[in-house]
Amino acid sequence: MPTTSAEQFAFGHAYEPLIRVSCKGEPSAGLAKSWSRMGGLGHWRFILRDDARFWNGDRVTARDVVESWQTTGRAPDAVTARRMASLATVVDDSTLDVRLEHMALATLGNPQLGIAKRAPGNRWPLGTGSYRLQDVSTPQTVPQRSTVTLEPLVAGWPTIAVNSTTPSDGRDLVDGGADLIVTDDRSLSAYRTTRPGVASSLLDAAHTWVLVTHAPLTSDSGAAVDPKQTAPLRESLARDVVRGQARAASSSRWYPAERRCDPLVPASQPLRGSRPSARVVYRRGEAVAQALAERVVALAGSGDAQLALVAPELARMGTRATAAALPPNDFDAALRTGAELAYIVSVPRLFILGCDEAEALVAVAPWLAAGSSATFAGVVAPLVETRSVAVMIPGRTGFALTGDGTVTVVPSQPAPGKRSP
Amino acid sequence: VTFRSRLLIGFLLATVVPLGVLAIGVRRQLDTRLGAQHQRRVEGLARIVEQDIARESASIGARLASLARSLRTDDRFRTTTLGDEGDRAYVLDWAEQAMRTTGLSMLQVQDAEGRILSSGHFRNEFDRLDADVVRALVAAKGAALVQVRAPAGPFLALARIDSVSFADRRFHIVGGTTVDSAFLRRFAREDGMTVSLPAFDGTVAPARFDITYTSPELAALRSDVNRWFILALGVVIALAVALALWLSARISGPLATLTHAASTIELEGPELQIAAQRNDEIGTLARRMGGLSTRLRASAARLRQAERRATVGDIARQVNHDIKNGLIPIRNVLRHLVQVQEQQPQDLATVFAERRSTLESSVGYLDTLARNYARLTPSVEHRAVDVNGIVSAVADSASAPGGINVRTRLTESLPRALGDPIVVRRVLDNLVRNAIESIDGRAGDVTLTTSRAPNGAIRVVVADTGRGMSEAELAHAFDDFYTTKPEGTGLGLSVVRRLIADLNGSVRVESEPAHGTTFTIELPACTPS
Repeated sequence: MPTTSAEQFAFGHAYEPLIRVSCKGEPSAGLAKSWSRMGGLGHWRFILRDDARFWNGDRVTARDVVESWQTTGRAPDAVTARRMASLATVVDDSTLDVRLEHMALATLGNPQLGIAKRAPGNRWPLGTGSYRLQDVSTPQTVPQRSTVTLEPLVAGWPTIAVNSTTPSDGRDLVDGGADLIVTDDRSLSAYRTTRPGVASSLLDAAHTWVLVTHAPLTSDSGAAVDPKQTAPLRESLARDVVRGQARAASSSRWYPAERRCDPLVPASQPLRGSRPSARVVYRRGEAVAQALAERVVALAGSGDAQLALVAPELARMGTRATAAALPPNDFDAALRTGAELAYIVSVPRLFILGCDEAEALVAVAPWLAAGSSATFAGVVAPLVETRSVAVMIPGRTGFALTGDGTVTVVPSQPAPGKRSP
Repeated sequence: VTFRSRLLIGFLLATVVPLGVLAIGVRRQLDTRLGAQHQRRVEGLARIVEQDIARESASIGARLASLARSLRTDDRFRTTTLGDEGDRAYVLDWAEQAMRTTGLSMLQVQDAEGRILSSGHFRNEFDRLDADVVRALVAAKGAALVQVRAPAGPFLALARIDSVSFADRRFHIVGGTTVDSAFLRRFAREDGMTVSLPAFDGTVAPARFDITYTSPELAALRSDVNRWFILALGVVIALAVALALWLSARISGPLATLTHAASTIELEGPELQIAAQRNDEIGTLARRMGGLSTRLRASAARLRQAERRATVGDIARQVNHDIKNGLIPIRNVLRHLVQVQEQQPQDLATVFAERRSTLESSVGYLDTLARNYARLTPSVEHRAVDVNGIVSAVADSASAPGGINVRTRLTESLPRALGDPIVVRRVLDNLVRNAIESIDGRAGDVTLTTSRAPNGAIRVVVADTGRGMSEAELAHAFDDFYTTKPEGTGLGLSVVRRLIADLNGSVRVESEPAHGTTFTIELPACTPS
């Protein structure tokens, strides 16, 4: 699974989801050439493309799709993938029925649900995209450079080198002739205006950054909070704290009052017990998360009233609260056990659809389901939504936006027999 | 407390106390002189640290002044803080950027109310009110220690404050450097020197530091002195103990021997040999005790001789008296017979018959008297005597009434004694008979025990469970003619004592009324020549 934005960008070209979703939320063909609503609630039938092939030439069947959902993905997307697999029924080799129930069709456009197949002797699972993963060099420490090379399967298409760099390198990339730069650096947009022939475009919000923290043990943790009361907080976070392109999250709290969902059942035993720390933690290398964590710590120390509404348990810590970066694995482990006071978590925005996200969060943080009903034992408060800027040199490379806010390169020469996304 | 213990304590006191006093005195002198030197050294180092911190404070002040000048001409900062929200991000990021360029580790810009406009070390703490720090730093008029909030937790900084004004508004710039272990180590310029912080309570405190300086040389010197004194003390104590033990052994050993020898001196027993080869006071004492023993024994012998002579005189007078007593009836009868022969010759036979019994009685008395006296002058031999055999024979032949047990406890392989078996038999017969008689017909025991005395003599003990003797009786037990028995002659124990003395032995008696009597006889052992 991709671990960096560069890898995510590259994997989007190598592994196709069943459908794609545009930046306007409209579905388009992916691995499936067509889809139609069946009789029941959220019951859809998908017909696979006739020319759908893995890199080794094997035809892609409906069973391959289900098996891919059963085996690939990383939490929280893996939860959605397993859910899809359980809801899918193979009609024939090219026909697949999926009962999405209350989930939106766009759920299937999640790039993390791209179809892959493990093959002996291959370093990477076989994909169905027009590009094959050639090489990935993963940095050991931030901010080293990560490089992903994509080899075209269509003659005449260019090889794509995807570099993940630190923000300070952005100007060098513009001056160095990069075809496309996807960045969160606002200053790069300003810089490009000084360079003739370089254009930029805001991408749609890709991530929602949420504050996950323990709910107060005695207060009315289930009480809803009027979003208007806490809007200034979220707006301030988006305007003054996040250095990239960001906007305030639209709601103040998703949980703990998501009562319309089924009872939450954790995949493992909830571990919520004594609260061992006063830390707000985030994944190391996530600048947005770091800024948000530091800001909520500062607000907790100054007794901010809006923070007390959003996350009373954190606010109660006052000046004892601190911010700390954790290595990704440690962060995942801490989130799983509820060992820290609060977490800044990034969630793909498009696929936050309510109960599914509740389940997805419970999958990575079982302690949230320690409550007896369909409520969290913690608070999940969306803070800001971030989006990137695409800086490009027009005419050299075409690109398209997908529903999750990422960019897909569109070579000028279409792939024969394949639809361009 | 034994003499040995006294000697040991005395030696220890005589050696340990002076050495301890010496050690304390040397340590005190060492501490006083070196401590003063050390104090001067610490004060010198403290002045250096003070200067270092002053330089650091001045450096911080200079950097803050530079930032103040820069801020005064910064139009973007000016317009934003005066109301233009458009470039708020610039203001928020200003302190972080300035902190990087100046090398400070904390930097804040606050407005006059103490609201943080920009923070370099904690970029997102903007809008927090922190007026106390400003007030405290203004009051400090220089550098102070400040507890600084940071995302990862608070840290301590040496901070100063500067100010800048524009458009009638005043802004404070608070900046400083982190005070951590590395910071403190920078000022500790010598080994053994530690710069630390006093207890910090609150947000702002004067820039005071604790300096600890432990001179390694001084510590090593103290340690060496302690070690050598402990070593010397150990050696002295060991020597004192050894010397005390040796001396006490040299003195108390012979004294103990003398004491034992003195306790075993017997005027009538074998002569004791006291080793007196030493040439010191102990040897002299031993020799004098030996001489005293010899003189005592000689005196005792002379006393016994005189006693014998006195006894012979007594016996002569007694014999004279006894014979007279025996002769008087005979003389009276003879006078009566002479008178009858002269006056009534026809009745002589009748009167003789009448007075014959008186004559016979008197003759019998004299005969008995003669035998008794004959026993006072036995002749003794000196040859090997089987004491165990004689004791067994005496016990077997003892005529004890029913209820009285005559028992023997014989030591096996007992050497033979030097003496006369007949005399020994007589002595033991006499003692056993006395013992049986002392029981007065009641049930009781008479025990004959043989053993080897510590001085090598052959010891025979005759013990009974009879009535015993009072102290007065005991004092005259061996006197001639002293008896407590109605028909006794009073010569039995007297003869026993003389016979034993003739055998060069000794006899002593111990008795207590109602607890029986014990006679202990010791005869010289027969040593092969």
